[in-house]
Amino acid sequence: LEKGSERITVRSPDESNWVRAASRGDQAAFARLVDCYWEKIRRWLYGLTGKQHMAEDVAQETFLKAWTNLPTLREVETFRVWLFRIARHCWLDARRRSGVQRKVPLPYELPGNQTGPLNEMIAGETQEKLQVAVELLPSKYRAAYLLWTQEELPYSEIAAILGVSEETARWRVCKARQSLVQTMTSYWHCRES
Amino acid sequence: MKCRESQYWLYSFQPNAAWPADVVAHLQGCSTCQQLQGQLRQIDQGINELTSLPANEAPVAQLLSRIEEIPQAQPTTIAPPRQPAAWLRYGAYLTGAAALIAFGWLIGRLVEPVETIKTVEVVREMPVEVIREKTVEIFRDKLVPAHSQSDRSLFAALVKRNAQLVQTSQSEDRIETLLNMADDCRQHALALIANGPRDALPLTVDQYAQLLRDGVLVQLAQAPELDQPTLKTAVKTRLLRMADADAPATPVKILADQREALQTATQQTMERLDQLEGVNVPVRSKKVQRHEPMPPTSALIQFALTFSSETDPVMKADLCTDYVQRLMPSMMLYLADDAAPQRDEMGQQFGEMIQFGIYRPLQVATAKQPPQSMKAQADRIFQNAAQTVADMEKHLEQASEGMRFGFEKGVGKSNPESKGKSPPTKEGGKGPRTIHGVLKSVNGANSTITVTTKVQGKEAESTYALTKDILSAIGAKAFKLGDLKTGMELNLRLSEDRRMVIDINQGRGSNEKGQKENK
Repeated sequence: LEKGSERITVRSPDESNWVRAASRGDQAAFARLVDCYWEKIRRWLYGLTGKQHMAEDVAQETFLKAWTNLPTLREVETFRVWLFRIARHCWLDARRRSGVQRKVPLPYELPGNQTGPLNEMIAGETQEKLQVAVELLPSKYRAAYLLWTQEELPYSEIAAILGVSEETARWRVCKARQSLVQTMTSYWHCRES
Repeated sequence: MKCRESQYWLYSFQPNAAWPADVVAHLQGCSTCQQLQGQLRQIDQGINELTSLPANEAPVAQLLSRIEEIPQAQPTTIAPPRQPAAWLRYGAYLTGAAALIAFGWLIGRLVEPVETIKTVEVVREMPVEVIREKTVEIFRDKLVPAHSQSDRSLFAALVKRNAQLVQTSQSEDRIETLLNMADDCRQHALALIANGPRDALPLTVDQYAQLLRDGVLVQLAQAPELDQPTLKTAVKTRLLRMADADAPATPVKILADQREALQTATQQTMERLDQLEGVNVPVRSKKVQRHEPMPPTSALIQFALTFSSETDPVMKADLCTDYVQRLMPSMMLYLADDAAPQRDEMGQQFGEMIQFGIYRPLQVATAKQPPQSMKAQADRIFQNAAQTVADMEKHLEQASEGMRFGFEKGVGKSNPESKGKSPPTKEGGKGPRTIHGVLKSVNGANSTITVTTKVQGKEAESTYALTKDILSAIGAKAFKLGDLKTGMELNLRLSEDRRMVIDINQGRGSNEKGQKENK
């Protein structure tokens, strides 16, 4: 949900209980948290790294660190921000270790609801172009934009995850979207002409 | 509502019912914004599809099995940190401070003293050399361009104010110019508040506060004690007028906060008017200033604050050279913009900044036999300024017809040997605003008027330009220039710089009355 400039995120009421239980060593409760957040973390990391295996490895590392350090988490309500922040640090570490920044492009998939070979070709081409446009984004813009568009996090949480001010988080999302529109508009114009 | 304002919302937030009504209304009526909204939606959906992955249970299972083997960290004790006793804390602070002072003293004794001027030159040489080569190309990526029309208007207004500031010689005039600059920023901020959230809004509010705090208050503190009560009253009156004209309340929290910040800055300045003891000239690191990219409006304000509080003419000239070099690319981009307001005057005003901010202080500093170090410094500044003017001339050769006019004015004005009028001195520029004289002649072609005035019992002839406004006013009263007869006694109201006549009344008056009015 979004109200004005700020989104209000609805979370499971059980989440706080699971976090509390997991911090006391309850593995079943932590498994529920993994169930809730695995896909979100993996998807975000996949958007950042462009590699499925790397995204899964970093996600595993993230959850392992979260499990180890969960007893040190003081405010259970901030679990999501805390988890994404760990994911970000793990991603930065992995990137530093590998010494390369995203060499494998994101694989694109053809949307299933398109029919006919021409439509499929156009849709595939559009996704390919979008993939290039995403790759062109600086990683800090991409990180903020993916949190905003995929996870629908409010700017306050994006800012806390990325360690920047709320206004900077909004600015990064704004610049990312502007850049994507710019790249895609030129492509759409070419296609129409 | 313009597309740009609506696009701010489109790029930053998902559309919903809580958006301002004018944005929603604009979106409903504007095909361009609707198209953008559709494109953004398509891109967001595309990104979601692009990053979706097939489910993979294996790593999750592997993770959960690994968790069983890994122990958790010990929980941290959440006991509040103990605060040591107050006397112990103060003791620790004092000990720390004493240790630092002792360390500094020790280092000072061990290390050979370095001449101050030498140090300053080491810091300054590098950027100056870099700037000389290709000013525009080097600075283009560091420039923060002025986007909107109101941004450009603020830039133009601040250039004009700075051109006035470098010509002022008294605290009263400097305070007035700084207040005018603050008012320009305030009005710009109000315009931004009225048009919805903008990135530039917090910066503009901050600039306003800075001009009042580091500009007006500092000038008041530096003014002669005898003049301070009058100046304080004038500043207070102006601030009250500015506070009365603040923006109406707004429901948007970001805007309401900025509006409050604007009011707080005015209020705090008024409160500090009676406590000027603690007001000091802010210390600025010039090294940082040179390397940081800075919006042109910020550069203009920083220049105004530093230049107005500086008393050494060589330092003034040096500062002005720095800022002129920093601002030149912005100026060229501005002059190249066909939609820029007051483009013709801008070149001239920029030239005035060079003439009265660099060459004039250097002339003052080197008029008598200066020490060798000062002379060398003055030569270096002179060369830098000459290089800047040469750059302007070089760009003038390649300039388009539209921007050439402003440049020509600027280059012409920046010449130290320019035949233009000298800056207003204490005798000339600070004369009475209303003068009484006997009409000698009126030149309709040049729109000038010559009157004979009595100054200290001696007759003197003075020629002033007539403003367009006065010409139209005379026309409205069916009172043409031709109706003014030689020998008529006139009261002339002059502009701030005492160069133009802004009002004419027939009748007897006195210069003393004018002087009173002026005060």
